[in-house]
Amino acid sequence: MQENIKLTQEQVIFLVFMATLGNIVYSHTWIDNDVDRAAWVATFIGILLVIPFAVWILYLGRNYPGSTIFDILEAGLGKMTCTVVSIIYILINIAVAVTMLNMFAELIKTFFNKYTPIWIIMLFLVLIAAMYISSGIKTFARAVEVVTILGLMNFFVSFIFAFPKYIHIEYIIPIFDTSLLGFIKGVLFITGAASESLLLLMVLVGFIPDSGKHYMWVVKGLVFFAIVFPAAILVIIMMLSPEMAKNIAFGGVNAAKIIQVEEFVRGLEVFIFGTYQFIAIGKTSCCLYCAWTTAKKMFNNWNPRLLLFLTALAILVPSI
Amino acid sequence: MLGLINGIAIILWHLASLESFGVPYLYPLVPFELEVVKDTFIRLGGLNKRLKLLAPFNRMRMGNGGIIHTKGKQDGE
Repeated sequence: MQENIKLTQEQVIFLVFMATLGNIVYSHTWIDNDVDRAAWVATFIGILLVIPFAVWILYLGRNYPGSTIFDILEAGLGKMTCTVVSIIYILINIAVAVTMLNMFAELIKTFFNKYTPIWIIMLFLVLIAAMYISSGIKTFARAVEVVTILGLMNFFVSFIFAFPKYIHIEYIIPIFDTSLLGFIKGVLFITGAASESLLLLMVLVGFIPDSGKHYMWVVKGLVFFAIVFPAAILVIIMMLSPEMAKNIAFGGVNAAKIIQVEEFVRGLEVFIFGTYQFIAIGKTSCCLYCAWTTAKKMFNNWNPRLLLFLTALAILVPSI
Repeated sequence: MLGLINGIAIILWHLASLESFGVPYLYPLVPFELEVVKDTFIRLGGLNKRLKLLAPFNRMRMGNGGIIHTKGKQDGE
């Protein structure tokens, strides 16, 4: 572990929140065919199912304070195994970041900047992500805390205007009009999507003071996400109907687009777009940080700035 | 719009990275401390405690140059 820094409870909660809030914001509609109106319930349960795995990671770090999972792996299974796992871990992080960048760039291209080349959007996002993590985990955690709160406020403030005119209770009742098998399929898909948070936790465990004792910090972060995210899905379904929600991409932006209160309150998709952008920056930063930290460990902390540049490049090039 | 949000994100990062004499610029909002937040907007109480961030184990301010507190301790109060 290069940095001897301990994070606070709020910082851990918001980092876990941001780490979970990755590609799930785009892929959650993929379960709609299987779970239909119960999408928000399946999402709630699916996210909660990640908790045992998260607690297990913290439990592993209990006897190795200040160490990441890779330090523990090296101590237990040797350097060779650790290197192989590290390479796979870096590749997964790059893949997650690349998907995130592509999804967000497509969102921008669809709704806002039709003529801007995608590589420019991605370049700026990767630059900001590199900037976020370049000054250490403490500053990164603080920035993520602010960005997450701002993003959440953006999202829910815009949907306040949807009440009560655009909210249709009949769209979510009856809730369980789906098969048990389809529901289980949806829950497992969401568990897989939410397990992105485990990637960050594998590194974050070294920065949580007495991780075995403070496992509730991570649990709180996941429960917080399990409440907020299904609430967002519920609002979208209540506005658009489950049939429409399953057939369109970027449901949040589309739902906000139809809100209009009198003459002046309209175009609220701009707020949702802000939220999506904060998520894209936060999630790309998380992936970049994970990949960079592991790369630093693999190369014995050799030239961190160069490694950061190369990791950022490894994310940017496949994205384009 | 893209540039505006990017700009906001950069400013937020800059604010989060600033520190003044060891106290983060955004404190007590980030890192969050409810006990201090209440004094950010309206001054409630006598402000007789030090910042938890700077003196986590010696919270009470001395007050009146420490004479009363020192005396009190010596008298066994």
